[in-house]
Amino acid sequence: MIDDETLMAYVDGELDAGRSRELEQALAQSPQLAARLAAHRAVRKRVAGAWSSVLVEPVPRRLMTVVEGAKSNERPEVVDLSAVRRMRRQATAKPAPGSAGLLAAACLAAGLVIGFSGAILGPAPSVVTRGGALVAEDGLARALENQLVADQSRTQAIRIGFTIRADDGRYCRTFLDRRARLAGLACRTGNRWTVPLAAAVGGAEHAGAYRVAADEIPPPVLAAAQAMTSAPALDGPREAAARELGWR
Amino acid sequence: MDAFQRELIDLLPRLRRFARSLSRDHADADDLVQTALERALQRRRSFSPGTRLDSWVFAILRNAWIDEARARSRRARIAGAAEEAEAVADARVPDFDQRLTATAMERALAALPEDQRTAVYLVLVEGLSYAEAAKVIDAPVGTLTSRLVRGRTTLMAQLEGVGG
Repeated sequence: MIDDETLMAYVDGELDAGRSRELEQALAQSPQLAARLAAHRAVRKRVAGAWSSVLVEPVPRRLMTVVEGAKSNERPEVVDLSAVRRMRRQATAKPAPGSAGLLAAACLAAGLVIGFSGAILGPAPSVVTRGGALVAEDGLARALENQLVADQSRTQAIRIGFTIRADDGRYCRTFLDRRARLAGLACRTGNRWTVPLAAAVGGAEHAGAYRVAADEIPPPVLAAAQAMTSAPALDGPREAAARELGWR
Repeated sequence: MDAFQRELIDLLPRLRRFARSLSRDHADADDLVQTALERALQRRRSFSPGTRLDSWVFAILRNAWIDEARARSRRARIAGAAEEAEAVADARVPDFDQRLTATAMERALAALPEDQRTAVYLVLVEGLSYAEAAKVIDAPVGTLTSRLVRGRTTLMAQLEGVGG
């Protein structure tokens, strides 16, 4: 006799392999038991949607303030990518035996930039090396290309700080990728966004020597951006116009 | 903000949902979330990195709710029987909009004894494992599963009644 508790544990994925097999054998022989199981599945499915409307309600400002107003535990620190580039040159200059060695050298060099530790950036690095340059990819590239400062919501994973027109004529934008825990400066170079400077932010528990944090773009990134231009950051209409022209 | 604060922000919608399952009054539910956030931030040192932050904050929220319920019944005792009856009535009748927007399932869940509702909520709505859910309510897994089974059995009977 199989009781309801066993059926519930089965639909909850909590039954061990041996008892699951027993149950499945019993199910094959008993339509009544299969019907009871279906009823349990249906309840599980219906309960799962309870209060789901709360998830899409806007979160009251006062609750955000409680968290944001609390003291932060971390300090920002920045990684200079030109140092990383020098290391990459050294790594790739060294003759490596076989392609596996080359790959390892490339990973070592890229890893320094892309995942200060693999845990920080997770499965989807937003900055990768392409032809010797660091380039924004995927979500970060799309945000740099399309997101206007004025249109951003605070819940977006990627936030653009501000946009400048560098003295060399390129458009550059500061960014903060919360998911990748990376902040930096990206410049529209040809048809892509290269990243001359980036810093890991947050995740101090993983970052070791690169112990950094903050939900803000770190001051050295801001300073680097300001050093690239003698003009102020673009205002809303100018930024929108620059996007309209494909950042050229 | 640091990583801990960012993760709390990400949890806000789920914390509000959990609070809503405990308190029928929307404003009370958000007050409860606020209390839980304040306590979580005060006690952040006692959180072990690498464990689940959601379960940890859920437990804090549930304890805040229990404290609140105790304080409320104490206030009611002091205030006397007549006012107590009134206070209970107030707490039980959410405003008209809130009643209209509750689904049949939410009403059925709300009618369960609180211990059972929380067990059902943590496992079926939040998708926590039995072990995680037991940790949130600070009880053995056997206690969790017996509440879960009783709550679910009641729900099944009710839903069959309405063609569920």
